[in-house]
Amino acid sequence: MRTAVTKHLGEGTLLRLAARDLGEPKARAAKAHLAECVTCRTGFAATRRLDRSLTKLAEARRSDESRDDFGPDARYFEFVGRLLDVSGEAEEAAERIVRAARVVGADELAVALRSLDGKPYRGFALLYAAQKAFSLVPEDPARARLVADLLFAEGATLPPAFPDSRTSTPAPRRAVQAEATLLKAYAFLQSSERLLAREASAPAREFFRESGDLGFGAALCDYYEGQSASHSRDYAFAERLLKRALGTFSEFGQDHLCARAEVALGTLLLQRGQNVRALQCLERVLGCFDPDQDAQFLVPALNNRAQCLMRLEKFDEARAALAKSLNLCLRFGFRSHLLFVRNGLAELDVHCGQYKRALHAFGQILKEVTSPIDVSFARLYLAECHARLGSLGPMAAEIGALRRERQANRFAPSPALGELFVCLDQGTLDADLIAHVRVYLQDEVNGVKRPYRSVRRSGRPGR
Amino acid sequence: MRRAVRRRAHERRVTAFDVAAPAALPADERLALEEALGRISPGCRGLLMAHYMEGKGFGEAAREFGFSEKQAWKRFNACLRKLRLSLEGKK
Repeated sequence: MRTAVTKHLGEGTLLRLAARDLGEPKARAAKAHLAECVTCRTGFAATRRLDRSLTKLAEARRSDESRDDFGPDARYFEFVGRLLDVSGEAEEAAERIVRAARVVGADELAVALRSLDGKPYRGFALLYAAQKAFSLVPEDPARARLVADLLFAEGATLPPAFPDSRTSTPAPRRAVQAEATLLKAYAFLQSSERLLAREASAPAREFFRESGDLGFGAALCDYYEGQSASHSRDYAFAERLLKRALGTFSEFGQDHLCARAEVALGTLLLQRGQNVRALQCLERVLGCFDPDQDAQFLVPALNNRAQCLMRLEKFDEARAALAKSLNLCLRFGFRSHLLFVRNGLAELDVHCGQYKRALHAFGQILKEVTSPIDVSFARLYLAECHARLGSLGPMAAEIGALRRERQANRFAPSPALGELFVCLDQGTLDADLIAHVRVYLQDEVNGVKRPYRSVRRSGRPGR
Repeated sequence: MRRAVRRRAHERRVTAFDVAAPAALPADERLALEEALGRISPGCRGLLMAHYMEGKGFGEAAREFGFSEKQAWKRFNACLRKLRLSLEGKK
């Protein structure tokens, strides 16, 4: 039979017992009481748990402070060693996730993600996977978006960061979600969905801030948002963001990212029609990219350089740049860049008088492009090629098709197209007029604003 | 070249994600405790921190806050009880 307990131990006694602050006789009596009393035993366990937690918290806080005051100590190095072990395993797991996403379907990807459950490196693996999945974007932007969504959802189950107390968990939830959001923004950018890319950059910036970012994550957001703004023709804002990103990357000694930001600035200059400056900018950084390791960054740099050279009428150099880019696209399976390269080569054929070849190339391109702008330009090139080859019927058919599509494309109110259609009706359409209209529209797309000079009023343009 | 690429990736991670010293306390537990400490009164928080952070004895910490040695245990008890209630979400 149990001994009757009439008086429970005071919380002070429990605390002193937990802190080993009681004298020997009192401690023995308290322990004897605890052996008998379930209520006091529960209270003692709770007090001791809280005491231990507070002791550990104090240790953790002291450890944070000692890093600032005295630099790394032995414990810090031990931790970094452990971190590197974990980092290695996480890197392999991240490779598996990206491989599953690249080669096989969603089920295998889910299996790769589930294999991380309960692993100490899960957070790191998700973080690295989000970073590594950037290589998927040029191959298949839609798949990269799917991976970004999955990683974002997985990241939500990670512990949060502690930005205020300067302690970062190895891979805080917000860090993974920030990288996943950025991946999505990049995928949108690659699919020419500029508005969605800009919209995706804003939450990424917020996630980076919440994860205790030191400014580097914000610079990455600047870099991607700057590119989206540049493609949306918001040039002043884009330049400000890209220059800010360039400054931060430079502060962090990130040469590779500096080169990428320079390419983005070069592209911006190209879009603004400043071809010479753009060419200088792009040629300055081409050497920073290795064709084997950095193909995904080298290809856009080569493509934009080729565009600059084409506008400066250096057709041979432009063809060489596009040929190099084409080789890389085929070798690494960059489908999203391939159309741009084929379009560039076909344009070069037109400039060099290879109309039959250009006709075939633009015929293929027309079957593949979906955006109204691309369709319009393909039709204009096709019509021009037909005209130069003397096939007036097919030329009129292409311009007729363009007129039917005008309601759907953004040039509908353009005076250039108006003149083109009037000449079609009057039967005075020819290759020079089509080229004149095309050049005007290309300038308009590139942000070069100038009034349209009517061919009928000012006489035939020289080529 | 491969090594350079690995180094770049590593640099990016190190610069992007500050490496912290080990915390024996699990991350979620630490967060809950920090939040609970934030919710109790500044006096209680100061008393507990004087003992746990600064390593002062119960009596010494209590004296610093204007309490007698005899009152020290009462104050600590009250503060710990408040912290426990705060942790359990009762306050």
